[in-house]
Amino acid sequence: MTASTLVLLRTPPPPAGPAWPTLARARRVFAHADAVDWAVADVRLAAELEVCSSSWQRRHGDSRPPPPARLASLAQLTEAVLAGTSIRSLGFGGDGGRSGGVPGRLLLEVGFTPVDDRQRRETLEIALAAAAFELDGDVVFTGPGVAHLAGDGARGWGQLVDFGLLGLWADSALPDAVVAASPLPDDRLAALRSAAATRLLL
Amino acid sequence: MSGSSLSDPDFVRTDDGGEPPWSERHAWALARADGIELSELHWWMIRFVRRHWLDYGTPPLMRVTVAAMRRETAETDASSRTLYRLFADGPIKTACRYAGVPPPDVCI
Repeated sequence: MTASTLVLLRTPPPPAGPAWPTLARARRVFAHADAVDWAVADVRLAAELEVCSSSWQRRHGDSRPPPPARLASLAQLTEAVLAGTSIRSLGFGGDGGRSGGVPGRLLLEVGFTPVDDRQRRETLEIALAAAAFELDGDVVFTGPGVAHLAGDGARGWGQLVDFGLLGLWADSALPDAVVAASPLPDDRLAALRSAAATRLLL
Repeated sequence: MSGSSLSDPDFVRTDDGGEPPWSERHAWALARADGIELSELHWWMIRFVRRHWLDYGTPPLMRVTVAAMRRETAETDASSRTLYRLFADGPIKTACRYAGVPPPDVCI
C-alpha cells in the first residue's frame, strides 16, 4: 500500500481486526454503503474522508456529513479506477481487493449475503458506476454471494447481462436465481483475477 | 428481458399488476407544464425508461439508452447529445418523472 492508496470502505471494520493497519495508514478513504455513518463518527480515522453521497442521502436525506468528511460520488471512485489509482478494498466480504496501480480491467468480487435490499442495491450500484463509465470488467459471485442473484431485488443485475455491460459469473446457482450468470469454475476465477488490473472485494 | 416489451402497444395503458400508476395523460400534463411538446422520440424514451425500471428496478444508464435508441428508432444521431436535446434538464431524470417511476438515486 502506497501513500496515495485509496481505501474503499463498505462496512465498519471489526474492532482491532486486520483492517485497522490498512485504515491507519490510509491517506484517503472512500466510505460507501454501511460504512458511511461509522466512518464519519470514528475519530481514529484521520484520513481524507470522502463519503458516497447517495449512500449518505439514503440514510440522512439532504443533510451533509460533518467536516472534515465531504460528500463524493461514485463517479469519482470510478474515475480513480480509470486512472489506475492504487485502491484497497475493505468490503462486506473482508479485506481482499487490491489494485496494481495501473489502469485496466476491473474485477468486482461479491462473496457475502446481502442482509436487506439496501445492501443489495448498494452493491449493484458499484457495478453500475463502472458500467456507466464503460469500464471493461466482470462481477463474480462466490460462496454466499450468489444470494445476490436470487429474489425480486436481484433483477437489477440482469441489465449487466442483457445490455452486455459487464461479465457476470457465479460459482454456483441457486434454484430461485432470477439472473443467469455464467458458470465460474476455479480456473476461470483465477484467470479473471489474473487479468484484472483492479480487483475490489465488495 | 430487454427490448421486445417496449413495442407492446398496450404497455402505456398498463396500470395494474403492481406497476407504479401511470398514463399517457400524466406524461402529457407534465410535459405541457414544462413547455415541452412530446415528439415520437420523446415517447420512445419515456416508454423505454419506464420499461427498464419495471424490468430491472432502476432507470437505464445513459449509454444503455443511447444504444437502445440506435437499435430501436430511426434517429440518425443517437447520442447523449440527442438525449439532452430531448430533455435538457437531465434526460434520464426527466424521462423518469414523465414515465411515473422514481428518478436515479445513484451518484454516478
